Amino acid sequence: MVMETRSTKRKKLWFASNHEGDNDLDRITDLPDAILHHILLLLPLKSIAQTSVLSQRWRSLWSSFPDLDFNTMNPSKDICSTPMLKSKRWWSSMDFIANVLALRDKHSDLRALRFRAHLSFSHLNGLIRRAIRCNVQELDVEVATGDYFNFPRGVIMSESLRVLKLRSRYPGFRLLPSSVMNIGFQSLHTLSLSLVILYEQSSLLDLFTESSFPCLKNLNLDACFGMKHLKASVGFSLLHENLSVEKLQSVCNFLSGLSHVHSLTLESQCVEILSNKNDIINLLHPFNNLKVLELHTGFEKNNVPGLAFLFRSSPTLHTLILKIINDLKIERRQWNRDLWDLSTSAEEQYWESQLQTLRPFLDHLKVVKIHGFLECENEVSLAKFLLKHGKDLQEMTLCAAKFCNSKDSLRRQKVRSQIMGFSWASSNAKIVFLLSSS
Amino acid sequence: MSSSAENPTLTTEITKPSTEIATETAQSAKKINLKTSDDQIFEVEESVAMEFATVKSFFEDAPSSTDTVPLPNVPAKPFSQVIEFCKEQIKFKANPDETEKKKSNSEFVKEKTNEDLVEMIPVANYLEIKDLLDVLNQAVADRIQNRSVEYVRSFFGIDNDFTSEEEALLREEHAWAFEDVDED
Repeated sequence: MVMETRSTKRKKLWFASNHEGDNDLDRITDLPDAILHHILLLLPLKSIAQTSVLSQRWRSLWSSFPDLDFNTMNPSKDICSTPMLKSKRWWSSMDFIANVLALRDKHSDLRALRFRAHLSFSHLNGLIRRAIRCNVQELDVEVATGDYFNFPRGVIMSESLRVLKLRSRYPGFRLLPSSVMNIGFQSLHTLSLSLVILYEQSSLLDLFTESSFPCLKNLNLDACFGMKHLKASVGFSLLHENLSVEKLQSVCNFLSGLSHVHSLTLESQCVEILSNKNDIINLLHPFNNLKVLELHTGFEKNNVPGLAFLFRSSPTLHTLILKIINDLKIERRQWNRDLWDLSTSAEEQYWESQLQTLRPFLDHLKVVKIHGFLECENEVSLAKFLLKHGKDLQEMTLCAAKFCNSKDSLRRQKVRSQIMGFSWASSNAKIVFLLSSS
Repeated sequence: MSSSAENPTLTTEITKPSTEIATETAQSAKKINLKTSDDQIFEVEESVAMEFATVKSFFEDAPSSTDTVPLPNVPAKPFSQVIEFCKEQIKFKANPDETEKKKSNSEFVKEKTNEDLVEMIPVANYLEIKDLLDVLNQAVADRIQNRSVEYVRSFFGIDNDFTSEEEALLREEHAWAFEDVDED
C-alpha cells in the first residue's frame, strides 16, 4: 500500500512539474536496484550500511546488497600487530559481521564476502556456513584464530563458489585428505591458500589432478610449510586467432608466480601463447633459480620468439628438455641444405640476433634433450645455435620421432653428419642420436 | 560537351555516385528532434542522438521515421547537460585519448551541482548512456562518502519514511557503521 501511494504521489508530481524543480529529485529512489547497487558498490562498506537508515527503500537495498567487503574497513597490515589482536574492538567487530548476515534478506544471494579478523574458529565456521547458504560466489577470508583452524568443510560441496581465498595469519591450517577435497569445488576458478601446514602430507601430488578442480584457472599457494612437491595440471588452451590479452596475462601471471622454481615443465601451448605478444611477456620475472626446464611445443616458426624469451628468462638453466609435438597440421619446413651451403636460414639469423641477451643462458646450459627431432629447419637451427655458443655444453641428445622409409633415413643420415660438422663452442660436448620407440 | 549529346547510360553512371554523396552529406548534417517531458524540443545532431541507446534502437525499429522522438521520462534541464556530455564524448570517439577523456569527464562533473548530478542519473539510465552513468555514479559516490545520513538524504532528496523509533532501532542495529563519520 505504501508503495502505491508513493507512486501515485510521484505521478502527480510528475505531471504537475513542467519545469525543473525539486519535485523530480526523489526520482533517484525510483531507479532500479542495479543502478543504486552500482553507486553503492563504489562506496566503502560502512557508507553503504549507513544508507540503510535513509528510507525503507534504501534499507531493502542494503539488505539485498550482494557484496560485503569488510576489508574496506580495516587495512591489511594492522591485524597482526598485538594491540589490534588484543583490542576489544576486534572481537566486537566480528559480532557485527554475523549480525549483518543475519539481518540480510533471506532471498538475496551473496556475491562476495570478504573480511579480515581475529576470531574463534567456530565463529569463522559459522560465518562461512552462512555465506555458503546464501550461495556466495567469492569468499575472501584472512583470519587469526585464537584456538585452531580446520579447513572449513562447508566450502567443498558449494556449487556457487568461484573464488576461495583462505589466509590464516595464525596458527595455519591443514588441508583435508585429497579424497575429500577432490570431489568438490565444481565451480571454483580461483583458489588461494596461505599458511598451510603440510608436514605430515608433504606433497600435493594428488590434489591438483586433471579431474579435480575442473574450472580452476588461478592457483596461489603461499607459505605452505613442509611442502616438498606440487603437481598441478594446468591447461592453457589456444583458440586459433582468438588469443585474448587475459589469456596471455594468465600465462604470465602463472609464470611470474613460479619465478622461484627449480624445475619447470610447460605444456599446453604455453610457448605458443608467449610467442604471440612480446610486449607483455617482457614484464615477467626471470626464473633465477631454474635448473631444469621442459617445454612442449609444436615448434613452428612463430614459436621461436616464445622459446627465446623463456631461454632469456632462465639465466642459470642446467638442463633443457624440448618435446616437439609433431602434428601434421603444423607446417614445418625440412632442413634441406648441403654442407657447403653457407647461407643462413631466417631462424638462424633470429637466434644470432638474440645472442647478447642469451649469453647467461648459453654460459650455463649443460644438457639439451630434444624429443621429436625431425630434422626440420627450426630444430636444426636451434641445435646449431646451441652448439655454436654453448660454452659449457656437455651433452646434446636428439631423439628422432619415428623411423620412416629409406629415403627419409638417407636424408636423416645426411643431416646428422652435417650436425656433427657444425662448429662447437664446448670441447667437452657430445651429441647422442636416439630413436624413440613411440 | 552539351548534356543532350550525352549517352543516357553514361548519365546514370554519373548521377548515381553524386546522389550517394548528396545523401551522405545530408546524413552527416542530419538533425533529430527530441521532445522532453516538459515539451521542449531539442534539435540534436544525429551522431549525438545515436549515443543514446534508447533513441538509437528507436530508429533501428523505425529507420525511416522523421517524427520528433518523445522522451517522456526526460526533463529538459538535465537533458541539455547530457547532450553537452555526449558532444564531448564524440570527440574522443574519433580520437581516443584516455587521459584526456578522463580529464574532460572529471571537469564535466566538477562544475555540476549535486542537484545536476542526481537529476542526470535517471536520464542517463533511461537513455542508456553507459559511460555517462559510470561517470555520474562515481561522482555521486565521491560526494556522499563519509557524510551523515541527513546530508545524504538531502543530497538525493529522499523522504524519510521511518518513524523516529524505527530509525533509532536501525541505527542501533548498524552501530558499527556509524563510528567515525565526518561531520558535514
